[in-house]
Amino acid sequence: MISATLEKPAAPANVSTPTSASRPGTVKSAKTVLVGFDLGTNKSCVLSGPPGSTDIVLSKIVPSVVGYVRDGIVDGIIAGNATVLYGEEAMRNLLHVRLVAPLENGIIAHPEAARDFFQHIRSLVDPSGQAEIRAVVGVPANAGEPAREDIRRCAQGVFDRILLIPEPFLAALGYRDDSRVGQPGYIDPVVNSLFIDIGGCTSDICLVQGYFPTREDQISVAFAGDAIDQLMSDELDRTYPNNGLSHHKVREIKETHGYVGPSRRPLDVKVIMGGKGHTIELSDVIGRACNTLVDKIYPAVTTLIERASSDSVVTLLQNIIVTGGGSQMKGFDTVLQKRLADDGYETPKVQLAGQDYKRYVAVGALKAARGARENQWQHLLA
Amino acid sequence: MLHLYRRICVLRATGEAFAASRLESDELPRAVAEATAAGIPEDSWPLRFAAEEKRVADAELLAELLVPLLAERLPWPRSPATAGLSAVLDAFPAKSAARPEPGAPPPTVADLIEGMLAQERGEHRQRATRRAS
Repeated sequence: MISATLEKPAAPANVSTPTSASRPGTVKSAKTVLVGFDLGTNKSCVLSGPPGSTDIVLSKIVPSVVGYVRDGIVDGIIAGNATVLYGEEAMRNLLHVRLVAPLENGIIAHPEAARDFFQHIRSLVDPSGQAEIRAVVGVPANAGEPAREDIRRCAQGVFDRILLIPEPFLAALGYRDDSRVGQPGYIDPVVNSLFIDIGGCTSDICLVQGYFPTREDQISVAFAGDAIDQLMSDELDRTYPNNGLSHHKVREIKETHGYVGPSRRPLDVKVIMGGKGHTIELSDVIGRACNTLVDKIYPAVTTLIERASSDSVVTLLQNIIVTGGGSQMKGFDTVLQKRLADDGYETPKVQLAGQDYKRYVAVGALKAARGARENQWQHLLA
Repeated sequence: MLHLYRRICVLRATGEAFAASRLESDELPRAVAEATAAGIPEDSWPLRFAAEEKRVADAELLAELLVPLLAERLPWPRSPATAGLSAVLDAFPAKSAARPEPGAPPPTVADLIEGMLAQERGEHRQRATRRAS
């Protein structure tokens, strides 16, 4: 049973080694590129850099969409007469492409588009197409083996080696300030923290206590940004039938005005309905939808707090960190903190990960790529 | 034939799920067809496969128990001559990746990843044992 391990190359990741071509017809150079890849349903973040250094060569957020150019588009309309567009460029050419989001609910729903998207990511991190690519990819905390296998299958022939790691843990690793680890007063999030990652499809709550979180340390709640959008849409449809507001517009309203806590009336928002400008008061619509999130995740938060040992729980309560798009809702930290305090938890402190929240998973993934042992990578056969 | 299936089980146990799937979808059907053509009854394969899965799962469990004991009792330097064994030790860190002792230094990223991989191996072993029993 040990032969498979022994067959793996023993060279450390920071030593460039000549590698055989993993894609037919290509000959790889000795260069190795490490990639941290946060593969999101709506947006993905990719970071890359060389092994054996802390340099980041590429840091990019890309909408997770692939646009297949429709037949019959006049020459010159699409730059370079490309047949496939990605990310922002696909969004800009919405009228001329069939837009496909490779992921739904955090898992791959359209394998061909996912593969094209991976290929695009590869072209960003290695324009030469010659390097050996080792990617750490963030996956939802509740992703099962079939979902993981789909990612591996789509990455086959695109990346050379891969490691799939749950996103909340990568967020903790990315949020960790390595320069302060060991300093007095610094609570290392990897050693003792509760991470709340509010994404598009799920809110993942994860107890991180110096070891890799077990399944019991992670709870994934199927309520997050998209569900809030849906609640807002439903209420807007009831109040303003045939309003014509797209999901994209509703999301934009939420991202600009989202809040939790007491009503922030008046909250006037200008929207275009039927081509005419209207100013509508949306404080209750937004407040009700966003406050639902707190109600949905609170039981999971307290469940994990109560799972921590009595030795660690007081420090843990000082290190509750909220990240992901949902962390941008105004007042989320203070409302959650107050609710915990009102319920008798010992001086809880909830903090927001900050403006860089979109990158923490990818930062953690790149750190993991740099720290992984040679025998921990999974080889992707061509 | 059984050697091929054992190889698939080993690949799964060592986290090479993708390579295992490739062998399972590409080579195994061909090998089964050849063996059936050679007169081995087709309906005997599920039992034989289950037995191989159990053998690999048992061997993995044994290694997990044995390797830390050997590591404790044989404090060899990790020289090139023992590099292969070192790789095995790295692959089976036993409980080192589990909950740290209070006051222990922060784990390295590789230790944390090892913890994740150990969990995955454990879950796979449980699935294999359930299938075999």
